[in-house]
Amino acid sequence: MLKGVTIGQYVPGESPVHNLDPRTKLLVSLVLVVTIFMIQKLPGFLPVAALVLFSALLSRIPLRLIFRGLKPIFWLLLITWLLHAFTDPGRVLYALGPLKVTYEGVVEGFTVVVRLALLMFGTTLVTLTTSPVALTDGLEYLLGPLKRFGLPVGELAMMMTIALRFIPTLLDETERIMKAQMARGADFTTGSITRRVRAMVPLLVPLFISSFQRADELAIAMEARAYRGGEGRTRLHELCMRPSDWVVLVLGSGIFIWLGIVF
Amino acid sequence: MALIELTNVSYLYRETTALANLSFHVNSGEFLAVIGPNGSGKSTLAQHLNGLLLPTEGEVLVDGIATSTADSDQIWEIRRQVGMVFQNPDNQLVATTVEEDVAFGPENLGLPSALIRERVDWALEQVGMSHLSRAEPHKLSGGQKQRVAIAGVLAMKPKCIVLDEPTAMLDPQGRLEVWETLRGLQQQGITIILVTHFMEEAARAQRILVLSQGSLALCGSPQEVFGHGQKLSQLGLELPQIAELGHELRKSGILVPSHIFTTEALVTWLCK
Repeated sequence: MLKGVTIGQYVPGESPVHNLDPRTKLLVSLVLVVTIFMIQKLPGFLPVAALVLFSALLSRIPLRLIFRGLKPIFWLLLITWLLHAFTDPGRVLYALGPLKVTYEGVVEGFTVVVRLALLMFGTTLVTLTTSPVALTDGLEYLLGPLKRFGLPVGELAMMMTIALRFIPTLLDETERIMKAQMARGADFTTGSITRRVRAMVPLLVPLFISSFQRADELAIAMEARAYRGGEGRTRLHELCMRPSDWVVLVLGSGIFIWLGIVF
Repeated sequence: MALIELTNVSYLYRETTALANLSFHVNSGEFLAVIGPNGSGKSTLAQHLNGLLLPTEGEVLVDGIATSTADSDQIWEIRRQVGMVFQNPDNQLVATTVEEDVAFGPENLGLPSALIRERVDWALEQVGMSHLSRAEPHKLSGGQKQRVAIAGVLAMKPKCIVLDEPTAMLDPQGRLEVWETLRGLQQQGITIILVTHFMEEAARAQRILVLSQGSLALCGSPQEVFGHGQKLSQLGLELPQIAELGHELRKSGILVPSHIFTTEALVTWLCK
């Protein structure tokens, strides 16, 4: 039942987009986000959308997978557009009693919808083409300067790695406990909501207890392997910016910034 | 030469005595088994050997350095020299792939990444896991996970490996894998300290240390220790099956020598 769960939404593959350094992808998508909010005129989104679509095609990830990332915000987009269309002042296109649809509202609503959709599309593309581990490494590096202000960047990245490592283990354990409780007559699938929530208690309590035990043993094992915090640690896989990364980084952010200023 | 030396070590845990006035030494390159009933202080003892626990009284010397007075740099050096593998294979692997997990120790030592790469490849080869270097730990079998854990320790180039019931949660196949790995390491001169409750495993060690209620009950070669069959059964421990069988055979007139504790040795002797 829990076997199908994947962490994040990474789709492994070999493509120019997959092979980029995670830092490049993170930085370019950051610039993309800023650009999307800088652009005020609707036509400005056209070249941005073209570029994002081009990278999506390069990544060889099925487009429907990326569009699936938009699904959770579909209703949000629709409601935003309707609100703008009905409430913005301007030239009335159509009146239905006290409700008026204005031209300015339709255009403004559409701009906001395109903005949000592009935002989701771009960031989904990054998470689809970058493994969670690579993302963690990239973030650790990019946040590195904040160490000076006392942010424990190395430790945060380690926590992230351990979480990724233990999610499958804990899912297995959850399933095992569920089966054990079901064997003793527990019922997780029928009854009212309150009944089902109450049925989770005998599942969560053992899960929590064993997690604490795991944490305890893991801490001892890490200490035995000379872990003493992020300070002075080196890495097996050092991140490496290749020439192609620099090209994408400079060209990509250059174009996005230019578009943001022009429109 | 003694690699680890304990003198009059006692350890109190919440006012109960976990270790009581324990003295012994571990020679460089030897294969030592530690056995004892549940609650006899085996795990507590194991964690004293690399400074995870510090003795309440007495002294633990690792390569001449006392764990209780070592400064933090010395403690990390002790942890590098005396590696440790634990019972639950799931709760000691840190990273999301096998090779990154093996790299964890060397990364903590701050080695350059080219050297880490070299060590990881070497260590995985030692335990026969090179082909699975990119696998995710949760997809491995118990025996494979324990071999990865051993590789993780090996990558720090230790002089000694302490294993705290590494096979307790494994199936017979996994137990065999771990056992063969350990044998290979000992032949390369790495000191092995194996805490176990499997008598068959202890029988293959060079020296056995029997703990009871935190103190040393017996110590010596398997032959000497298993010669005290009665004392062992008083402590709630059983002789290895083959020793038991040899005992029965002697009773009925087949004079099996008393130094035979393993199936292979008995088969060889009987076929002669």
